[in-house]
Amino acid sequence: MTPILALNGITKRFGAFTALDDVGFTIRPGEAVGLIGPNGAGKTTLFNIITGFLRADAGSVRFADRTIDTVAPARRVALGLARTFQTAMVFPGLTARENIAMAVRRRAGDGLRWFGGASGTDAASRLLDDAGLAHRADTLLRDMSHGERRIVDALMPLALSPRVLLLDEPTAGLTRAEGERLLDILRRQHAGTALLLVAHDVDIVLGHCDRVVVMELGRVIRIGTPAEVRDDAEVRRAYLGSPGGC
Amino acid sequence: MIRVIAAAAVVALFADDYLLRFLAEILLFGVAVMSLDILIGFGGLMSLGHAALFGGAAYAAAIVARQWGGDLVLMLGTGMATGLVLAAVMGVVVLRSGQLFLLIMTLLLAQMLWEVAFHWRDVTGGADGLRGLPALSLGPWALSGARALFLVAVPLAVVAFLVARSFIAAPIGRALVGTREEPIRMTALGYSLFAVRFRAMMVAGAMAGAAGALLPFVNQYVGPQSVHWTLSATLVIMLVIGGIGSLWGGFIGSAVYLGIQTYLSAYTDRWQLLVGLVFVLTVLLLPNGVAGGVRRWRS
Repeated sequence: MTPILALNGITKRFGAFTALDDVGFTIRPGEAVGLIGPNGAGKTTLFNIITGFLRADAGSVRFADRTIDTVAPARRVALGLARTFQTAMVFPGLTARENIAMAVRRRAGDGLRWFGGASGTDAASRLLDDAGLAHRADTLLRDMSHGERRIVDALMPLALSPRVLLLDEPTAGLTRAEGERLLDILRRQHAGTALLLVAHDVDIVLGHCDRVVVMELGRVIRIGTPAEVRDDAEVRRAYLGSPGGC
Repeated sequence: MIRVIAAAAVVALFADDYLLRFLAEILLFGVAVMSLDILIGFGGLMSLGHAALFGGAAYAAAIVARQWGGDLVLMLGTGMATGLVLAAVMGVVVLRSGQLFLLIMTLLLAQMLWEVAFHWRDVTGGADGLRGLPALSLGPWALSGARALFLVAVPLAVVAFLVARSFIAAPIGRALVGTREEPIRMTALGYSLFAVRFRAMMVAGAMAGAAGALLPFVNQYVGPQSVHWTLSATLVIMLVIGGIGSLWGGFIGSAVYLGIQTYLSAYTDRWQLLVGLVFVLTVLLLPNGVAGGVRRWRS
């Protein structure tokens, strides 16, 4: 199957520090790929390059058979590439429904309409209902709990109906149960979307992903199925630690 | 809205010419402050160049009026077109900058316009400005009296308020709020920050331009102070006093400021001390301005 996202030789330096060194892997449509590695491995830098918030020094990003290295971040979203951030980036002064409606309108091409009321609230309500947050739809984000904000934060890019969704630590600050619930919501809401998931909770990554990419110091050291990664000696040394670590 | 119109009708019937002209000035400044509120209050775009849009339109209307007469539709069209063009130029130059750079760039652009107004004596009258304008008119009717000017300013303010409120409630207005609250998230949702902010700039420019076009007819004069950065700062002060992010607070702010300026300056040259005191007290006691205080009191 033709990959929906293909990274080839991605290299990024900040002065003398090499954050990413010849990183390459592919993601197939609908596939869930986990990205793990210790702090400083370059995971977030890679996210920023894929989504256009940073420019790579070398290498290329191909999305749906098209090189998108010079495509602006907002345009990449229109092509079908959406993301979350390490910290929940929500609009605290808007309600949960309005937060998600912002994404719904963008997907519908209605985000810059000059007159008339704000649309997209019905679709936003449905998403919140599916996520079990219907009763919080009219609550301002600043009044919601961290876990609820995280769910709204993840529902926003999902409302764009992306072809690839990059999730940067979506479970950070959540309990194991909350994290599992969030990922279940994400998979249920959009089964056809390919996921690239970064999470420090290795069990969550290994439990939800079809393949796992392991990074260390800006390099890919292993790509394989969860079972292969779990049993790999180099991965254990670099990240997983003791045999019982995951 | 009906109460506003009824109040305006009562004022128009009973107020004297001096008060009517003063109220018309408050309304025109109120519209300019409200348009600035779209940028600052809803877009988080701090501008110190708004007088360029307001005063630039005033100059354009005065210049056109001297050539072709003071037809109201022509004046409003000239003012809005001037506001749009100046806002477009300003937007293209400054909207890729952020925060401090945006503040300085708007100030510099406005000062460039002031230089033009101050030195292009043949067209702008230089330091003396332009006087002796023809009367404002609508078809065969002359709108030269204070009452007529007031009755033109009221519907302009009402329409401008309705347009501003509609703009903020529309998807573009919601997107503008989003760019203020989380610009990175907005980019990640596929919104072009420039596209959203540029549209807001255009609406603010058209609104400030429409109000600015009538100012020379109310004041019977337009001079370089109309485009000076100190007027931009004055508009910001009016906005803070009235209430950022409320739209209608702009009218309160302009009434407070112009009231102090008009009535207290008859007694002392140091009326700006009182403006400063009101500003400080507002920031300390009513951080959301008078409009915010009213909202809090109501709730």
